[in-house]
Amino acid sequence: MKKEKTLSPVFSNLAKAATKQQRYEEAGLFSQLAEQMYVEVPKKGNLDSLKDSMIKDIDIHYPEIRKAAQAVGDRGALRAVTWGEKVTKIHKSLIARYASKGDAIMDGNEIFICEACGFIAIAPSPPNRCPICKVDSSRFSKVK
Amino acid sequence: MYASRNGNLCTKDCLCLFVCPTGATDTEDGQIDKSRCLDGCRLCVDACPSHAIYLVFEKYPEPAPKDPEVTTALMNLCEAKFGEEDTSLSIAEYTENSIEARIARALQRSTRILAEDCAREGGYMTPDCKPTKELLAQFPDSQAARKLLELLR
Repeated sequence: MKKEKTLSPVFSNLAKAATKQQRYEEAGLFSQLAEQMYVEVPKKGNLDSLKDSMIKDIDIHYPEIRKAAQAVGDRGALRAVTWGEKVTKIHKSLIARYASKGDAIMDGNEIFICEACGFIAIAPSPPNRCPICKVDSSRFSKVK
Repeated sequence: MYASRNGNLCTKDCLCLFVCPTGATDTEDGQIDKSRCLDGCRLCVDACPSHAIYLVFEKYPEPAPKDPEVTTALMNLCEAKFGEEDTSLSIAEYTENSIEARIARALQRSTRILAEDCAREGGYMTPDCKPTKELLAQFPDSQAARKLLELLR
């Protein structure tokens, strides 16, 4: 199975796994591959087209994964669907909020991202616990 | 198997120093000295009151094989997420509005995490699992891939 476009995330994830195993040389090489395999998608878009793609993920991709995972009892994949679907819905509503309220959504706020599941918080400080994956606030980083 | 300390959890009670037979836990950089750590000893792991020490394996077991349909569905989403990441990146680069750029950067980073989760659950779980090695073998021209296959043997 080889899908060139998907390989950058495959390798960047393996770099993270290698770091957790303290295999730092391997982590560096996987990061190198993740960069080398980054294929730019020619068709560019805007926040609206991004939202359309997310709607497709929610309507088609996540249900497909759920169906296949339920058929074989793959709990890991079901967990990825549960978290990923929620985070994607948050992405979608963030774009909608920004479209209606504009820059005002950032008044007094910062953007924090959960490094474990991708949850995005727009708030003055990160939550004590991620509402999606329940990891504690030390796994949040600020987006500048 | 050797011990490793999570600096974020360590409460500096130093009970690991009391039990370590080789002094591997007593270092100036806060990490356990791997070269002196005894394979599988785990005295410090059990002694630590804040559960800040854990064992890192030399070799991890092969993850359970994935159903091909689950893998295909996950990798299709991984590809879609990659497209969204790339779109976010281009918005961040080209917009003149700094807040829109910041939101786009957040979306880009978050989307990458979602794509990585698809890859992990799609079977590319560990650096030395079979699907990873088979993938690396598809890039004989890449020096990094060749070196990885050597290191992961």
